[in-house]
Amino acid sequence: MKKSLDDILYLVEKPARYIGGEINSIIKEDLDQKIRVGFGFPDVYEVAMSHLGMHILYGVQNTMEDVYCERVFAPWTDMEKQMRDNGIALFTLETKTPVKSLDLLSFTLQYELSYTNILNMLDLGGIPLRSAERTEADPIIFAGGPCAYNPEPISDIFDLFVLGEGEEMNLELISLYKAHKTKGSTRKEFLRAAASLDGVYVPSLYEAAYNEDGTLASFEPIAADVPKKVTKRIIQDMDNVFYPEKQMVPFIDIVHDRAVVEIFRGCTAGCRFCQAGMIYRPIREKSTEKIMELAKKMLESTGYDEVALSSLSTLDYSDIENLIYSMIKDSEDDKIGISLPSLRLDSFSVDVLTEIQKVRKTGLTFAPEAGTQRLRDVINKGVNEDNIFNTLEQVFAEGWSRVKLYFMMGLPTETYEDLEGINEIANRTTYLYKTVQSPKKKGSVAVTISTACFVPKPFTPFQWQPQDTLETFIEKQKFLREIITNKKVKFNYHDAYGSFMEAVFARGDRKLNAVLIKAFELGCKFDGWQEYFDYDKWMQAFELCGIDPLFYTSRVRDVNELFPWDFIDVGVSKKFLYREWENALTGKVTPDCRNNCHACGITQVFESGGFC
Amino acid sequence: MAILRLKYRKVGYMKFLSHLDMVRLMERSFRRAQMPLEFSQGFNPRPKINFAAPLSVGVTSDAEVMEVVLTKKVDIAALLEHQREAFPAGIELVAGTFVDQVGQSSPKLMGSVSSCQYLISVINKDTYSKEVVETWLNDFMKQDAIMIEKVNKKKKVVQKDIKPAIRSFALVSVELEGHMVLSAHLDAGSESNLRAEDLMHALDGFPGVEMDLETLRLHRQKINAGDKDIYDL
Repeated sequence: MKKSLDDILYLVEKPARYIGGEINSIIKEDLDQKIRVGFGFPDVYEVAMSHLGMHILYGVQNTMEDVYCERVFAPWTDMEKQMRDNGIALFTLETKTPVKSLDLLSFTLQYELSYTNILNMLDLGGIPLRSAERTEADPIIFAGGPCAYNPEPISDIFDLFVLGEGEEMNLELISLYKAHKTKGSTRKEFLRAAASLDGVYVPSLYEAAYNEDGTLASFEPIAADVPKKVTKRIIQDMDNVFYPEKQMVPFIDIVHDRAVVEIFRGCTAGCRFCQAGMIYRPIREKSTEKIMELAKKMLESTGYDEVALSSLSTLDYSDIENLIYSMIKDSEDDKIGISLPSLRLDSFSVDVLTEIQKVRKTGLTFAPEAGTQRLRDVINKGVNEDNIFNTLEQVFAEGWSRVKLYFMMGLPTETYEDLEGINEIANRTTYLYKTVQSPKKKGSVAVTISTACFVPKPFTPFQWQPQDTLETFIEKQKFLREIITNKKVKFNYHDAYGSFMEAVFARGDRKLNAVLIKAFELGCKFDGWQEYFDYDKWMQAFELCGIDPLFYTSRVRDVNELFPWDFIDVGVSKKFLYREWENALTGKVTPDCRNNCHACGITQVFESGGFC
Repeated sequence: MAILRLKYRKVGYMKFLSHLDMVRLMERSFRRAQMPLEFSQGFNPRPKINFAAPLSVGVTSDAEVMEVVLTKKVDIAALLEHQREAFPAGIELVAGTFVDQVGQSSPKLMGSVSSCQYLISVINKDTYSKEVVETWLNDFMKQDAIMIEKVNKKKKVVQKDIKPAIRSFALVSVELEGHMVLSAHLDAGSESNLRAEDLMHALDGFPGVEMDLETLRLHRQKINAGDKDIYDL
C-alpha cells in the first residue's frame, strides 16, 4: 500500500525538513488565481535555509499580490527513497503542491556540484530534464546565481537564465509570464519574448559552433531580435531595494541560524582568484541607518538572538566602526549576539572581535590564502607577514588559543617553496604563542592548517589558467602532510576529486550537458557531500559521452580564445582581467580600488556612484 | 521576577519537532511576543525555560506544560489572544498563569511529573473484532510480569518489568481496516517511567497480536503530578 506524506515523515531522519509552516513563511489564499512560482535550492533544507539570496528572492517575489512563491528543496536521500517508493512527487514546502503544476520553477546555482541535484529534483517532480523535451504542461524552468555566469554546461536543462541580481529582474520576468499566460501564448512565444528582458538568457535561442580542437568557434543568436550580449542586472539603490525584514525562522538547527542583514554588495579588494569579487561589482553599500533599522526589525520579527552583518568583506564597510559599536550598544539589554562572517588579518578585526565575542573564546579562522609573500602578491591578497603575525599576536594576547589558517593549493605559479611557506607560517604561529605574555592566555595553542584545491573560475584573471592535475594535488597534499610535523599543528585538506569536477563545470561548454545527464543517470547526486560524491561514476559518464574532462581543466587557454561565457557582460572587461593576469605574473599588486580606480570597466556598463 | 506557566497543544506538523527544536521555538516565540525574559547569569546568558516532560518526535499533545521566567508580570490574556503573531501554527497556547516562586530556585516542574496519559492509534495486520482485541489486552495485562529489553545508561541490554508502570491500558475503539485506538496511563518521571512506544512494542510481541508498528501514532492527553494535571499543581 502506498504511504501518505504524513506516514513517510515518520520514517525519515529530520522530518521537520519537509513540513514548512515556519514563522514568516508565507501562506496565500486563492491559489488557483495566482501565478505559482517555486524557488528551488538544490541542496538539503539546512543549507538552503542558510542562504540569504533565497530569503531575498522568496520575499520579493511574494510582494507581488498575484504571485505565490514557495520553496522547493532537495529531499535528503532517505526521504527521496520514501517519495519514490510511495509515488510522492517533489512538492513545495508551503502548500505541498507537486512542482509539475507550478507555472515557473527556478533554481539557484551556488556551486557546480549541485547540478546533479537539480536533475534529481526535476526527475522527482516528473519534469523532463531537457528544456527541449518539456511541453506546455510543464513549468518554465529557470536559474540564476553565481554559477549562471557560465550557464553553458547546463544550457540544455534550463529554459532560461537570469543573470545578476534578481530583485527587479525576477519580477519583470514573472509579470511577463503572467501577460503571456493570460494571452494563452506557447512556451516558445514566452521564451522568445523573455529573451528581450535585460539580464535574461534563453539558451535555445543561441547556437554554438566549435573548432576542430574543441574550442568555441562562434556563439551567435539565431535571430536578429535576440540580443548578442546579455548584460547582468544590478540594483543601484541598496537602501530602497526590497529586503526580507521578516526572515523565515527554521524549526530545526541549520548551518547559519540567525538573522542576516546584508550591508553591501561587491568587493574592492580585487583578489585575483575570487569570482565573487569580480562578478558582484560595483560596490554598493546600505546606509548605517538602514542597516540598524533592518537589524532591529528583523530581530523583532524573527525572535533570533543573533544577527550577522553579511557581505563579501564586512570589515571593509566604510562606516564599520560606527556601525558595530552602535549595534553593540543597542543589543546589550536583549542579549543579542552580533556575528561577522569574514575577518581580515588586521588589528581592527581583533578589536571588534574582542568587543562582540565577550563570551566564547572558540576558534578563529583567518585566510592568508598562500604561504609566501610572492604568491600572495600573485593572487593580489593584500596581506603581508606583519599583518598575519601582528594579528595572531593580538589574538593570542586576547586569550584565543585555537586558530584555523586557510590556504589554497594549486594557485597559478605555485611552487613547493610556497607550500613550505604554509608550514613555516604554522610553525611561526605556534612559536609566537609561546612568546606572547598575557594574563588571558590559557592552555596550549592549536593551529589548524586547512587547504582547498584552487578552481579557476570564469570572469577572473585566472580564467585562462589550468588547474593542477589530480596527481599534482595529491602529490602536494602528501608533501604538506609529510613536512608538517609540529604536534600542535593539524593539517586538513579538501578533497581534490570534487574540486576537479567543480573545475570542469566552472569553465565548461555545452558539450557537458550530456555528461551531466549521464552522470545523473548513473546515480550521481549530492556531489558536494563527500559521502555521496562518486568520482568513478563521473569518469564513466565522461567516457560514455566521449568527452575528456582534462580539456576543461588542464589546458592553458589562448589569450584570444572565445570563451563560452564571453557573451555575458558582467561589467568587468576581459581586457582588464588579462591585464590583471599579467600583473599577477610579475607579482604586481593592484591596491584596493576604493582609493584608486583601476579601470576594470564596470563604470562603462553601469552608472557610476559610490566609490566608482 | 515572575514565573509564567503555560499549557499548550502541539498538533499538526509541529509533532515532527524534537524537544530541542521546541526549546529554540519557545525562546524565539517569546522574543517575538516581546516577553520580558529573565536570563541566566554567567558567560552565556540563556532565557529560563522549563518543560514538564519532553515529547518524542511524532507525538501530538493536548496538554504540554512549560514555565518561563520573566522579569515582571505580563498580561496573559493578551499573550493568548495575540499568540498567532508569535507562535507557529500547531503550537496553541491554551492557558497561562503565574505561579508562586519557591525561594529563588528554579521551577521544579519536571521533578513533579508522575504519570502521563496517552491515546494510541495503530493499524493491525488484520481486522479483529472488539472482543478479540479486548481479550489480547486482558491476557496481556494478566501476565505476572511484562518483560522488555532496555539499553541502560552503561549501554548494556537489561531486562525490565514494565507492568508496575502501567496504571491502565484499555481499548477505546476498533475502527475500519484493522485500525484500533487504545488509551494508556503510564508512569512518568525519574522514579518510574514508561514510554508508550515501549508498551506497544511489548504488546506487539504478545502471542496472537499482529500490529504494523510503522502505523503507531501517539497523542498525549495529560501530564499528571500525583492526582492533578501538572498545570494545576
